[in-house]
Amino acid sequence: MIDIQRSVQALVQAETGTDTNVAPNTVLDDISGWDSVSLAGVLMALEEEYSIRIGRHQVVNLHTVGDLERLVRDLSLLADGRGKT
Amino acid sequence: MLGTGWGASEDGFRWMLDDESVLEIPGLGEASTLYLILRISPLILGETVWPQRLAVLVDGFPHSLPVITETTFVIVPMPGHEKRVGESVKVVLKHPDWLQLTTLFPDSPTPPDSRKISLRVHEAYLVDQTGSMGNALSDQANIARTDPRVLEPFCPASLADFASLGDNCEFGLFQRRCGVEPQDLFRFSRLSIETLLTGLEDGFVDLCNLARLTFSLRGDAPRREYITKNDKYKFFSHSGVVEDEASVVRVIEREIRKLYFLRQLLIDDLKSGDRLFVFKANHSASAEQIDDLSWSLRRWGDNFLLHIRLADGSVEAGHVERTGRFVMTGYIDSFLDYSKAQIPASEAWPTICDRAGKLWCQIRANDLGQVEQVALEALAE
Repeated sequence: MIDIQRSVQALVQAETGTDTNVAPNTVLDDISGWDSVSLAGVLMALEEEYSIRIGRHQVVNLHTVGDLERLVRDLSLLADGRGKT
Repeated sequence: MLGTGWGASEDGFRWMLDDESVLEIPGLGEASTLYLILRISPLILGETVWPQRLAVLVDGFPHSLPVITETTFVIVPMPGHEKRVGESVKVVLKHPDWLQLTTLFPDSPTPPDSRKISLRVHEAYLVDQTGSMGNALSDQANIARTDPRVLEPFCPASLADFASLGDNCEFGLFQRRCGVEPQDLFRFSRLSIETLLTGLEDGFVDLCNLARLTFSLRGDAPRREYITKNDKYKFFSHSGVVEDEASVVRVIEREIRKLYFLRQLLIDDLKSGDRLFVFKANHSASAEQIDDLSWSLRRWGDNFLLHIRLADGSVEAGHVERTGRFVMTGYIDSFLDYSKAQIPASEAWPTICDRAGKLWCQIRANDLGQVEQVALEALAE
């Protein structure tokens, strides 16, 4: 889980070109340089890194860095857990 | 009568457990054609929907194989009365994509649910072909029972449910002024109805094809903005980045990723039928073009089109009406010039969206009722 947190935070920083610390409760719209393109970039990078697929209904409620982390965690768990006993 | 594979009754639903859940429906009598209707919803973890396959077998015969991604009514025809008199009917619901939370959360401080959880059943009831309720199942199964003609309420549409199809940024900027920022491919793009139709035909498969893309700077130096163009779809899109803010390489990389992702979301939207697609054109589109656009949208799913056109004196600005099976028309007093889409748009936009959203919800609710009726009639034949 810490890996996901670090990964999401690094991607957000890279996408916005900022060194500003971001935390789970950081509101995405409050990050300098953040825009809808940044979101698309971060989500695409996360899809690639974690082999997950992010759909429309999952994009709608992303407001904080923590929301991004939870989304990746949930989708990764689902991808790992399908059919496992 | 519940067989194997069911959880205990919870707050308005029961879980289907393990690989299959069995319903034994005794003595259906000699009533006319009967249908079993199940209202089923998927497992949701946090805010993440877990899509699951469902196969329904009635006395061993398969009747439906949906993938459950949202609350769904599954309609299952019961065997003819000559077969079922005096005999029970066995309905097997196969759901192989269950989840076990103990596997997902092995380190949880509180022991999670160890059951193999699949789908939720909220209601199960029998109806005859007139829509009257049967009398056996729900009480015995201790599952909530309601009038089958009462449909899921739709939430009022929000401005984020509207998806711009162009032809320019006017509607996308109106959404921004209202504080709504949906991730939509065409919000800040310019394309014609002709090339929109081309893209809907081929799924915008060449949208991110580097051979079809060019990047340019537009505006007055030193604040020129990077613009992305696709020559197949005659599409251009604002990057929102001006020349001294980022290198060309970074802008190109970002733009391609953006287009790829937004195309992916567009395809999701087209398949889901959950967005209201808005098309405006300063130079009016012909009725044939709007018909073609509606048809192209319908190829993908149950998509509605809101066509915005200039009021011509016979109707007031802000008026919205249904003008086709899947088309609404909204009337506006004026469009912004293509070169001035940044200035505040017509005051009629909020009224149009409010009325269109309400009409859309109403149409979808009514149509769902009709669709269910048609499905019942089709099954009866």
